[in-house]
Amino acid sequence: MNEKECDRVIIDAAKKYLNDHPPGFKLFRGRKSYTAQQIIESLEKDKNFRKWFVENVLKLSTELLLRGKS
Amino acid sequence: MVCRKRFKAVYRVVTSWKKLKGVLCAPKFDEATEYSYRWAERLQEQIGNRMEIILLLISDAVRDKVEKALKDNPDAMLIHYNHGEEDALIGQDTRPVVDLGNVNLLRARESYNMNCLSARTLGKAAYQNGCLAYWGYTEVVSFTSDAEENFCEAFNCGLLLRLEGKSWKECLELTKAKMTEIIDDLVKRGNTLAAMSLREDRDSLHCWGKDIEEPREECPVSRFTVFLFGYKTLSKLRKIRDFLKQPQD
Repeated sequence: MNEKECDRVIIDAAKKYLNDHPPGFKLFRGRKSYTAQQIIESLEKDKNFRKWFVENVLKLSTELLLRGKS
Repeated sequence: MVCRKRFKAVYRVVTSWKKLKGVLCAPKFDEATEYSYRWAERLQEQIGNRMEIILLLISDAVRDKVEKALKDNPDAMLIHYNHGEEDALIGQDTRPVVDLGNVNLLRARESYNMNCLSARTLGKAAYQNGCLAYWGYTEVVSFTSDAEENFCEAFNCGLLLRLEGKSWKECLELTKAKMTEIIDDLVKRGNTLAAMSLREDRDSLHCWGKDIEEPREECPVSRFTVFLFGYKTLSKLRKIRDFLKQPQD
């Protein structure tokens, strides 16, 4: 699996996860805020946001694995 | 000689009775700052009567009033809850209340910040200018609306530990440990996005203070730029980079 395919797996999983979020949900990042729908859109359209998101999913997963959490 | 020692001991006891003072600057002008404002209110409740707090809220959270409060209270800690930039703390009018132009106001006092980025350049400059300790984040702070209480607990933790008499180094270590606990709890509850955001916040939390190691620039180009031209140049280059890397459709 190359990097792009790996990103795609994460993005698809994130979309599935976000679809179940209540309408009032928001993610704040500095001055910007995103509803679940806007996160899904940004994952497709915004290269920087996608990079930030995938990077942080991987960092959290790695940390949990290393600490033996699941 | 004995007399001088006694005087010093008495002086220490008397000064320890003196109530701690803080200037709390909390503007509120957009959706994100509604949260930071609520966290500042909660912090005030949690502090209770352990600190005398001078409130600079919403319309009072502007540069002139912050400067005056700091000048009038040279022993007060500055507490800022709002947006931040690498080299500035933002006020109600969206302009800096503290930046590199008046960073000397933080000399000989502590500063506790819940804002984006300011621990990068402003924190370093403040510490180099004689600030006793500068608490803040070196990256953009992120959080989610569904874990507001958890983020509040994480962001307020450091100051509450400080009021218990811990050193800033201990406060930093214990706060990061608390954040890790919260992250694990969020993961257990299936709140992955909140956990992901708090993990990033935890790693970018830094305190410029005694016996605390400096955060190292991860990128070698950034390290080289800082080495050659200083943080101001790096900050300007980053702003240009961010402008050029606007979201693409």
